[in-house]
Amino acid sequence: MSDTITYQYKSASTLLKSGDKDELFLAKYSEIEKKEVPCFFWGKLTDPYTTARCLIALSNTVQSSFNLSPFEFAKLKDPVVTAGNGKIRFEGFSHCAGVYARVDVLPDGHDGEFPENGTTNVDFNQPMISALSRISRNESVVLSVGKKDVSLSQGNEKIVERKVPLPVKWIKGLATVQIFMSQAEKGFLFNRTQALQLFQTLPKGNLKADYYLIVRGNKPIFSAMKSINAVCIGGLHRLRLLEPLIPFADKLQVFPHPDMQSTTWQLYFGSIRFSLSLSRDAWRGFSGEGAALESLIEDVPDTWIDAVDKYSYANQEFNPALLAVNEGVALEKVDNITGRLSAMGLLGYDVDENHFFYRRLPFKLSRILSLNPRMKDAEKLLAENKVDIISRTDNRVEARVAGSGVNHTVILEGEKERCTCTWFSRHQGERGLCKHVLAVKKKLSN
Amino acid sequence: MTIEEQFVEIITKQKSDHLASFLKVLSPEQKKLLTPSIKKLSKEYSEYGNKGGNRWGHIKGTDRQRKMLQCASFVCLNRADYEKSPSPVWFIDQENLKHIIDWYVPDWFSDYVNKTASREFFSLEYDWIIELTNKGALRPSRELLVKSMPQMIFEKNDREWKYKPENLLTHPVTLQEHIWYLFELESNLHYSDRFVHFGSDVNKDTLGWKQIFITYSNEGRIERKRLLKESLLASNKSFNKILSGWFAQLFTDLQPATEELLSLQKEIFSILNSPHSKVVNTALQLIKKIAAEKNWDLHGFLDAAPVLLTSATKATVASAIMILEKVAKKHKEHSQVISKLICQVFLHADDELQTKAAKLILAHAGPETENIREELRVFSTSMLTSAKKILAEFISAPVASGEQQDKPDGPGEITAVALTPIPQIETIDDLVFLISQAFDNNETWHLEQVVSELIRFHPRLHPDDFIRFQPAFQRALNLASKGLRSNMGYLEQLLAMFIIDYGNYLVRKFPGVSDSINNIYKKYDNKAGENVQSWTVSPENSSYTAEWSVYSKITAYEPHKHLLVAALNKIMKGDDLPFLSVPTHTPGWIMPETFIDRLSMYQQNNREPDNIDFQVAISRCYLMDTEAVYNYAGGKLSGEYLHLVRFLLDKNSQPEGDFLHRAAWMAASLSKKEKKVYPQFENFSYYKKPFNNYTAQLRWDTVDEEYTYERYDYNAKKNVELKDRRKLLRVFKEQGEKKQSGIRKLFSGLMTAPKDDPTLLYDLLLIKVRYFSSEHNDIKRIILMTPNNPEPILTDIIMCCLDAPIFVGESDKKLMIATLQVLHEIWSDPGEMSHLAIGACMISSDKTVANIAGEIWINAVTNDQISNEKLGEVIGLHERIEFAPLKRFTDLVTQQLFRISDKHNRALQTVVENILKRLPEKPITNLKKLLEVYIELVAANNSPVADTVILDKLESWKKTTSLQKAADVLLNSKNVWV
Repeated sequence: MSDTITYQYKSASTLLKSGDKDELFLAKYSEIEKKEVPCFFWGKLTDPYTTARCLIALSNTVQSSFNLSPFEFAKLKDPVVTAGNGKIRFEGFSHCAGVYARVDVLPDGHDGEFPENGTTNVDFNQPMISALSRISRNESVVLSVGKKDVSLSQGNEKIVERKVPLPVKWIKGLATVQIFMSQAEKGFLFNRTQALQLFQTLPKGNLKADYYLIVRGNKPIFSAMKSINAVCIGGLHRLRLLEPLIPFADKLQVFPHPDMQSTTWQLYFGSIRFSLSLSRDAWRGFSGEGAALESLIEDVPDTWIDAVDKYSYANQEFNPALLAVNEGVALEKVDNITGRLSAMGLLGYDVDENHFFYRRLPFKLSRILSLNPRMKDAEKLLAENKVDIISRTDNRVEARVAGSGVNHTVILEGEKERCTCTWFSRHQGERGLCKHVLAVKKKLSN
Repeated sequence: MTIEEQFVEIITKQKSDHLASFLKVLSPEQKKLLTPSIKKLSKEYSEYGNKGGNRWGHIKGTDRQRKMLQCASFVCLNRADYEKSPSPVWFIDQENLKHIIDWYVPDWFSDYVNKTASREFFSLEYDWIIELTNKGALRPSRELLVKSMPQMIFEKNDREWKYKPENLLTHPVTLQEHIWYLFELESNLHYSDRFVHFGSDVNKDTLGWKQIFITYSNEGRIERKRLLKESLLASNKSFNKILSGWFAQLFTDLQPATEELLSLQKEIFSILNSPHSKVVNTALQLIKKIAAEKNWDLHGFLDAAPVLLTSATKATVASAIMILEKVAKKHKEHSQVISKLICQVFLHADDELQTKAAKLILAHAGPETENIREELRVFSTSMLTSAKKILAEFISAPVASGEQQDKPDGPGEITAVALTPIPQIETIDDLVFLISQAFDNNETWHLEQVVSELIRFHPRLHPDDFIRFQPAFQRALNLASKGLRSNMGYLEQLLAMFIIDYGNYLVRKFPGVSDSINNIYKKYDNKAGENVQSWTVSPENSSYTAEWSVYSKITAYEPHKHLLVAALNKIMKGDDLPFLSVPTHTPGWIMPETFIDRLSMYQQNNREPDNIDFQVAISRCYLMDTEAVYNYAGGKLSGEYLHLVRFLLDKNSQPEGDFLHRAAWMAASLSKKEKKVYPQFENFSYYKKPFNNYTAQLRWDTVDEEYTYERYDYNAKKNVELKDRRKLLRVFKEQGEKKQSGIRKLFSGLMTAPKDDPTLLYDLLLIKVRYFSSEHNDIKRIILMTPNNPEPILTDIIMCCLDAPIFVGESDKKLMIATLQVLHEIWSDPGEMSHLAIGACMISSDKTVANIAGEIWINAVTNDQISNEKLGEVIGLHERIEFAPLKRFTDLVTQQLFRISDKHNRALQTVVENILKRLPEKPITNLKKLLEVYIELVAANNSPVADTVILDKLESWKKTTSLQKAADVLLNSKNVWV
């Protein structure tokens, strides 16, 4: 497997001026596209001014990094667009994979057609971003994801080619963040004025300590002290990515993870939504959290993936029960299927509508599945016969797993699992299972 | 002679004249054949080390040989091998390649050279790039050109720098094409002359890139229209802040005419979205120039206005208001929209901005004001008094105290953590996992819990259980051998020593069955020659725990060490009586019932508790609502223990009895709310020391003083003394033993005071160190040794961390944050040092420190647990000498402390008044801001200025023009608000 990925666009994305209307053309590329699909969406944007500002905020997110050296900045990744089911979603990560941003253009946000549905990388280049900031409210803008008029891009000449190291963190993050979002709960809701008030209390500079969102009286504030009902936010300064959008938003809804492992901040602009999800800390990416690991313990039959591909289309709500019925999968096995498919990059999550939607990442599945080192380590432990089940009752399993120089004790008790290794001791399960617990669970499942 | 032999001879005999002719004729196969020799020789000749006689350098070969080898590498190796050669990048400069490039260019050359653009400290000369390009050897990337161009206008001959703008004219492609790349990609254009020195008589401002752009554009060499557009766009292209500002300034320096500005409106409006205030403000200045023109894009500006009006930069908001005012005057049809927009200014707690906004609305809102009224209602809680006064007719029901709508939160909402029981360890499983995580410092009580649970479970452990402790022993040995991780403190190191000692004990006690432990220990043997240092051998028959110390010799670690040593002794003796001091509730409290139960176990078993353990337990006893427990003690304890416990629990009880446990009695007296001297303890040796050090009710002061320091003078070639001023906070700890009067001395002599009273906990809890390292990970646990009386240790923390206006380092800051966090949790009866700490932290340079101090104040005011007079005095005495900028306090007030509840507003007014009373007659910087805050408080509380000291000061400050208005408002407050 190559450790670089080459984005090959047939042309650069541009904002073209033609007569009295602009056309925002987004060049697309997917390494898994089976057939030549020229265009996913073509049509007029209902609110081009806000859409443009949201795309600029997305671009700012994609260009930002909160824990890497400036050298890493050169390796730009392009956002992913999913078009279908009346919606267009743009999503991307910061370099450090600790901030996830998504722009949802809902059915009322455009007046256009979806010649095909699907997910693709789109070229986000600086001239196009600069042009976006020149769109004004009274302009008419047409968006096209891919070329509608095939004649315009005859031949297979690759005009824009960007070779970057394989965005491992990016892909892992995209497969993991959905799990955090699906566990998040609806929290505080603020109107524009309250949101503006809240962001006025955002301290300057990069903040190392945790901060908490609390509401005192009617006024929301960021405080350095924890209190009841507070939402914990690490690396608070990352929220500044939202600042330019707040003066235009109708409302701001916060979705905290129940264990405060992430927060999602969603801004609403009529038929457009912008959401920003923050990982637990500025130095922690969603990529390393391992939330998806448990879902990967049991192998997923290829037929399921084929079935998902067969029955689903981009942005469609994912219904695991329906899939099970159609494919004859035993219902008890369905419980975890959503998590598994999500971990494989096949599903996204909509916090507002509270459901998963189908979105197959435009990367080879083999790449995505190869990105779980803890799972690979667990499989190695099993292959080397290092997992020994000491005792097993209905509610309790004790196992001994040979580690480096010592034997680790793993105890599974009801829903609770514990291990004596450093990873578990340090994070107490908050950052996904350790390889020892994974190995024990995998052994039991086999 | 084979080709390899020929090559080796050329190199060894340094025949550099022969090298080119030799390499030139090599076929690809011969080059491949030669590769191993080149790699081998390159490695040999580049080896660096001691050449003998303590002379360091290349061990073999000469510079010439190394250069010859690099040349051979360039000609013969493939790219991957060339990149591994000793100095591949530096070799591609003109000097080295000019004789080769005419007869040989590797196929990877262009790609390789372009890749050097990403190297931080390397750039090729622009002329050389062009030469290579003209020879067909290179297809330069834009990045490569942009990296090289900024320096091309400067040349250095010998030691002298020359400014050569004409270099841009040498190659036509430079001005036609390459120069525009500077507007596309980030470069160091803005500081290209940073290391260039032309001599003291040359003004750098008259030369450089900006000047070149202006001159060449005037001369028609660079297209002006394109230059204007590109410099505007470049100012908002995700470049760094300074470069973005540089391009914005370039645009301004080009002095665009009104027509030019009008033609570039789209671009100007687009840079209003820049994240850099300099760029945004430049755009606003440009917009001001065209706002009166007929063809200007009014709608474009109105679209951008919400972001501008809510900007955190005051100048941006002020400029936006000014432009909108112009628009409102000229375009009456937009006055309603503008008035509505401008309401957002009321989010800023800035009197000047709000006044401007209010005046604009008053002048332009027009007759249909319902919309505006509606909008103003949204902002009513953040509107300041002056704005409210101006817009009185728009605010339907004037609210004297805007925050009346915001009822107090009540203690429930803002009390940080109610007392929560600490999870109990039920089984050996629990203990196994607890020990594993104790090294991660996840909770403040884990360390002590591990120790106490080992005492409890040790007698029940079966040798089969030992294997489950393997990971804990491994972590302990790892930590002891390899050092601390970022989340660990020295207490984790101490715990590691304890666990290592415990492991050694198990190995001794259960020989044969403890191999699972012994084997791990052996892996950490440190072999240095013949000597093998093994963790299985304890130092001089002692223990690692007993021998442990921190390099800084901070004695505050001693109580923990003492407890761990005592625990080891208990385990070895098979004594499973629990420690008295293990906390039962977060963060470090013991419920009095539990304390009584534990103490009664000692009494029933006729065993003596450990001295330090006893004192810590007393100092951790939760002393709220103790009436029921008072009686409970009667049923459980007797004799001295009962007297001691009752003395602790009942605020009115007096000490009585034999005082056999003197340190415990002393700790109890210091744990009580009222910390006073008891005549019953008069012959305690502790009373010979200054009592105030135990209660921390100490004198302190802030000073602005002159001091001298030494610096090396290079001209005089010696150290010279220099003078400067500094601001310091000094806390005056009392020194030495208390002096006694003659009669008292005679009396106390007759009483024959025991010379060896047991060690008092407070005599150990001391921190005297200038530079901290990992102590911030321990400080909570150290403070939690005496949560009933944290002020003595707080004194030392203040003296170390808050003595200067800024923190010495990151560790100090972290230590202060940890201190405040734990203070917030145990806050109850603040004394002098608590007030000093909170006051000093409120004006701290660190936002998080100030924010937590603010939260403590909010909580304390809600629960009536702070003296606002005292707090105001602390801040006032700091600001009297401008120890820290007053703006830090006013910002904290407007962002965090103001308008929480009526009670808080009243408290805040008291704080502000006590600050003002301490300020000098000569106004300090930003006094105006404080007076504006005071005006808001006076209005909100409907409580006019009455204090004569403040009135006198206001009269005095009134003489300063900038303060006149605010002072007048306050001086007349009685007439206005009452």
